Amino acid sequence: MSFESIAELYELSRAIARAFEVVKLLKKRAEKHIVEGVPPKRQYVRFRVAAGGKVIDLTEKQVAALLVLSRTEGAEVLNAIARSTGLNSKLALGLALQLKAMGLVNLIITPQRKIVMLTPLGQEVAKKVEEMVTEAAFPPEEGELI
Amino acid sequence: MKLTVDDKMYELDWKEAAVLLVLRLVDWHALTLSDVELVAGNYNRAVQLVERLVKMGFLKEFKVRKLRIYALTELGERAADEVRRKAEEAGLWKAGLLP
Repeated sequence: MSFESIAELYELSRAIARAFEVVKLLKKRAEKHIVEGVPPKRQYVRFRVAAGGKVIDLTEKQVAALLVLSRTEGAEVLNAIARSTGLNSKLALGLALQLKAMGLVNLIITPQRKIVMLTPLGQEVAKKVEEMVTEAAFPPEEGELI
Repeated sequence: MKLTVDDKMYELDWKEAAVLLVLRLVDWHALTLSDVELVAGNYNRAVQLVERLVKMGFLKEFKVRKLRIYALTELGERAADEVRRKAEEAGLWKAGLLP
């Protein structure tokens, strides 16, 4: 066996030993952070948006989450969405999972941190919703602007 | 160690290989920078390590405010599998080193 292959074997064994040590630790830590998403109850459809060749019904909470995401360049930590929508982390995760099932967001989940990111369809829907909300809040006045 | 992935040769040190393995082995397939720190030993080394792996195309970075999360790219998954294959070939995977 050459010196090079012995050195490589040594490197490999160190990599594996460290990797398993860290995986064991991370899995142990993860046990303390298991949060199962529960969709919020009493959600009513308030918005209907046509995007990506289909009609999508959205509830107030879903719209709130989409608006938060569209105003933060399409990505936000779940906690920030929970704060903005007035939900706890369990319900916010449930909401994010609902949006994921609709194809509007992607979720990147680690035990301690969760990131929600808009998909291209989600961006389109968020843009339309934002227009609808702005229009409802500030209706165009009749008559011409002088 | 030398790795050949998609007919291209890469040279990784053992900590870089360990990060790839950890990402492949944890159920959630993503790590924060502080998780990488556990492999690297300190913050500066962790930053260097992920920067190099991102540059090689093995990791993708998701950045939200100050939070950075790393996940394997498809190339990174193949690289991690190659490390595992090498370890299995050398008999290290079954050697009781692993929990």
